[in-house]
Amino acid sequence: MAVLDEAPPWLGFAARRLGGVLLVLTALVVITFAIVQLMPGDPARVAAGANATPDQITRMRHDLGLDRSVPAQFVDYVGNLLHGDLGRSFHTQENVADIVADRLPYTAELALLGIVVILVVAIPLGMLVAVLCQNGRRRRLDGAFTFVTGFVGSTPEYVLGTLLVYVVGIKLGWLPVAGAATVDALVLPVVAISLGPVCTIARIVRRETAVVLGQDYFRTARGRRLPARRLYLRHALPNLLTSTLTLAGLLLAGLLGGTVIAESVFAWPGLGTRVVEAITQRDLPVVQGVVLVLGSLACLINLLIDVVLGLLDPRTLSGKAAGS
Amino acid sequence: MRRVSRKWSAGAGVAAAFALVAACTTGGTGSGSGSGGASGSGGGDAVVRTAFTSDPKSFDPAKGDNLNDYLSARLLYDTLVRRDDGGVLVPGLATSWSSTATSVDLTVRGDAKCSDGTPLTASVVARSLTYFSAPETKAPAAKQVFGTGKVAVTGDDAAAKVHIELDHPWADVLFGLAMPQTGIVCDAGLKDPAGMAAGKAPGTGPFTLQDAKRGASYTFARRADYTWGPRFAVMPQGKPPASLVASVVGNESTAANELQTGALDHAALTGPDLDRFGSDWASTTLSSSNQFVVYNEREGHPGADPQVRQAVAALIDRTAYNNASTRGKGALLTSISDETSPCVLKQPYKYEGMDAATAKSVLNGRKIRVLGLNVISNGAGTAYLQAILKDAGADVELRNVDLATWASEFIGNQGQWDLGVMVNINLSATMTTPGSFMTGDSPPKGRNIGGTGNADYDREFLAALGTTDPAQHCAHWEAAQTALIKRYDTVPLSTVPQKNVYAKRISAVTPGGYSDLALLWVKG
Repeated sequence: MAVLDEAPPWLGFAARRLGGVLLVLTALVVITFAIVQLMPGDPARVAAGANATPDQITRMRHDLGLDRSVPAQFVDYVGNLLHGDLGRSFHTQENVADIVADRLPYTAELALLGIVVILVVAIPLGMLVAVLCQNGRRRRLDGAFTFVTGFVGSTPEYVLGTLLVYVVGIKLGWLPVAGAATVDALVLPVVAISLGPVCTIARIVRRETAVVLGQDYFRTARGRRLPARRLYLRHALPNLLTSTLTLAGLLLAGLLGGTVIAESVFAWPGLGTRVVEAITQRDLPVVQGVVLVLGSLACLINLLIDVVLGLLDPRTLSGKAAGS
Repeated sequence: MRRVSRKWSAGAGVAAAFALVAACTTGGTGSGSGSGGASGSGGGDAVVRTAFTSDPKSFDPAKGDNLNDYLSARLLYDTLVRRDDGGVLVPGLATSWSSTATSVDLTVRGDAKCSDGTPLTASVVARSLTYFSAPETKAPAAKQVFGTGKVAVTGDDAAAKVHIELDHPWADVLFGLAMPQTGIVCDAGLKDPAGMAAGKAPGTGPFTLQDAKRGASYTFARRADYTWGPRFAVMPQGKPPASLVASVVGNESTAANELQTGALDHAALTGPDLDRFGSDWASTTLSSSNQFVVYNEREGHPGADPQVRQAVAALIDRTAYNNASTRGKGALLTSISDETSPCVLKQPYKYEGMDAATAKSVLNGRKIRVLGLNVISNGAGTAYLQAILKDAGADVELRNVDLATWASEFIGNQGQWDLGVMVNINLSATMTTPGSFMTGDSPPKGRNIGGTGNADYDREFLAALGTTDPAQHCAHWEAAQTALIKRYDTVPLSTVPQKNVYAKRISAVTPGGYSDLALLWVKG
């Protein structure tokens, strides 16, 4: 115990987090394997197609290894995964790894740009409103901010997307309404997926900032008559980033797997629409592969956020909650 | 102060990393564009932009089983004959032909070439059709084109003749050879099936696949050496484009938006968005598919009882079904095909027999499982059927499923269903295509999805396929359709209209009532 207590905090932190990541990845592998076992119907029949004869279905079952015992199938599955083999689509016979490689960059592009926009807009906006409205000043501004962010934040993504397409794309003709062929085609989908989270995070930042502004250390810093920029950027911002970044990490993981509506409205060729298509076609290898990749990414993003939070606030390394 | 500075640096580093990754991926996408052009003025006159509703499953024409496969097959592979308006066949890769009920002879044109420069000979055609008809190819349309018996195809290069011999009568073979699935593939494609499925094999059609971005777009380039091609009674004005870009747009409203803003030159619409394009837009309304009731007539199913079938027929208000399924935009069918089939019944369908009260008493307490397809108005038509059956006191279970499930459970007869609505894309415009679903062996050996056992229909069906005389052929088909309706084996419902809308600069024709992207030309 004494050795552990004396170990650098990063060591325990890394051990805990890596253990957690391994546990989640193992669970993901087991769950994705179980998809095929638990789905109703015969996957071999689906893979062979509606016109397949019983002989062809039997051959397909053998080719897919479905006539082997479940443990043997699991060993094969894990072995293939370790070789980067995610299987083949029942529907198109493509390598699932190729499908992921084709589609993931589009989804990542949308999600990463979305999260950058969310952070770049929401943090300054929330801080600005908190600073302007501190100590009960500018009540109208505070009310308008609360109303607008509440209203826009609760508006469904597909409504925002459709409105943007109608006004900016069709009526004004300023931007392409769909497609991924040009850089300007990114603008509307990014705005559509960002607007809601911008409002949510701006409200959180506004509340966290208000708390920070009331802290003793901040009043002390203010008493030293530091320039406003230095005061807010160096003394306020880092202390409200913990909850904001945690939420941003969850948002990014959600955006990677959940931009289905935006992808559909804007004909964006991402993973979300592909996995929905695979689900409706009962294309199990594609569903398995995409769930595995997205789950792993979500896991890695959370790990990355933990590391960043550890850098920002070393108290989190020991597992203690960051206080104000 | 130092500590705060380090924290801020870390945060800024993360943001910069996000921005860098995003910038890299955005740059990649941007540089990958080009021919598509997203704005109305982006594309030059030589490029025509259209939309696929999803990725083609395979570019091997024999493997095609959905509309996007058929559309791309037309671009990459020519067929031996083509169907024009009024059911007339016109030359494709064959210049002339003759047929009996069990054989077809065709003369292959001499100037056609594969896109790799190899000449298209009679033996190449024979090998292509042999591949299409072989059971191991598992071509979904093979039985539709050649029937369920054996096929032998031979080619005589010296005489440029191809001979097709069947061991059973199937008089509609020539019309089957007009279907895009029978597109003639070259030897290089047969040697490389994977390459052919990916669109990389040489073809015989007017375009080659230049670029494929799955989920995003497909670019087809017009072949410079393509000097043949079908001549229909009416051809588009202007000239064919140098290239054709098909974006993958799954959401019909999005396709309509792109059409309206000029990002697309053509889109095919079936839902409410077609109302956005009035008379100021050039358009053609086609029948994309035909809907009719099929009962599972096998032992143990309610449809095995003729009284149940008659009762269901008595209660269906076809106009109400059409309103639910197509918002009233479809045309009511007279039989199991639409008016593009030359031998379809001319007189309107009329139900005769049981009154509504008796029908309800027959259906009261019966367990009926209805299977529908969710892609047609989200299954509103079958929801209507559910409502009338429930109103009659039946215990109704409705499942509206996706296309793949429907194909497996309904067309493949692998599911539990009692009553289904057939949604049939009749690419050959023959009666044989829908008619073969009502006779013969059950799937997978045959195509009889409901296990229909109508002796009169079976006899007339075989008689129709046993003659190439047009008058006799149609007479038998009319008798066959009447037999189906008389025994309540089906209730004809409605067409599913598809409105093809075109930008002003596009001239298009739809010979035979079907869309062909190679016939989207640029005016002037």
